[in-house]
Amino acid sequence: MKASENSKVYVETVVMERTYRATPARVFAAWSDTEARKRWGRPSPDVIVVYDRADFRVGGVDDSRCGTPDDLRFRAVVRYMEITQDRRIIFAEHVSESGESRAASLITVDFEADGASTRLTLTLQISSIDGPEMLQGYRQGWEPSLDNLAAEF
Amino acid sequence: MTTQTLTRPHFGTFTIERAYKHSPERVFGAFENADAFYRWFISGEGWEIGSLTHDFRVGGHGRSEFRPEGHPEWFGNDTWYLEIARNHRIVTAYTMSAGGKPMSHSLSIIELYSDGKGGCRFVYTEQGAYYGDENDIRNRRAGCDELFDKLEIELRGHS
Repeated sequence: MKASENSKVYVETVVMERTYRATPARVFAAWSDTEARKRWGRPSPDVIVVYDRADFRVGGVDDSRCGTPDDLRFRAVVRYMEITQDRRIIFAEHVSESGESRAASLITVDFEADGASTRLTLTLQISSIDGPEMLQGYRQGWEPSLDNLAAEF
Repeated sequence: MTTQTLTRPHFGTFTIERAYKHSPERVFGAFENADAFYRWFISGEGWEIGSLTHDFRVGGHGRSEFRPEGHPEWFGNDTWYLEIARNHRIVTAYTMSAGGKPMSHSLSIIELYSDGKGGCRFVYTEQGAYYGDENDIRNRRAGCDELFDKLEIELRGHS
């Protein structure tokens, strides 16, 4: 949905949920560990993620590029805003494609124990800059990534 | 094993539009210039300012601490600049805190467009996670409205 009449920004809030057969500590660890994220945090097998910078702490910055190995066109700069061990991560992300600003988002991840499993809730508050295209881009990126995460356990 | 209940935030979005008689360059300058920003955004009657850092650049971290005069607790604003397109767009993420604990986390996008008559169409969009009650989003919108009134006074008063 367009933010307002004179805006070029399109906004959407998307909630995704998954249950993983692992404790919150293990699922949280798969988020905090950069090496794990390189495995599961990509939408398809022909896409790779390269981290130029990783600093998982409040105020810390991750700076990564994503795409096919010969065309790492997407850059995501993340700023961590809240981290509660094994419970919650909140971060802001700015995405550019080939140097052009494309989207920004506020992302909240909750990890809740459910017996021996973890219920993960991902809330994506997305601003697609200059048209709605990135709203779909976020859905298409995160749905398979959350599916891939299951393979870590 | 006891599990501490972690409060879920409320999630919300709002947009405010303003029409200023001043150019996008002037409006942008009121964010970029530390003295101007202090006048309209930071300072307020009856408020005490503690620490203050202005760091207007991509990757920069602006921070301010403030409290109502005589209030025991400091409020904090930590702003990170995610994207700056000169005279056109400012994207930030910011945390409001009270006594060191987060009250909210927000993503904000400011868009500046020339109106073709020397003025500026100003659009502010915020998406946030608010730890409070269902009034948070309305209160935040009202707070932003007041700030954009102060911005107008700054634009009129200083050239």
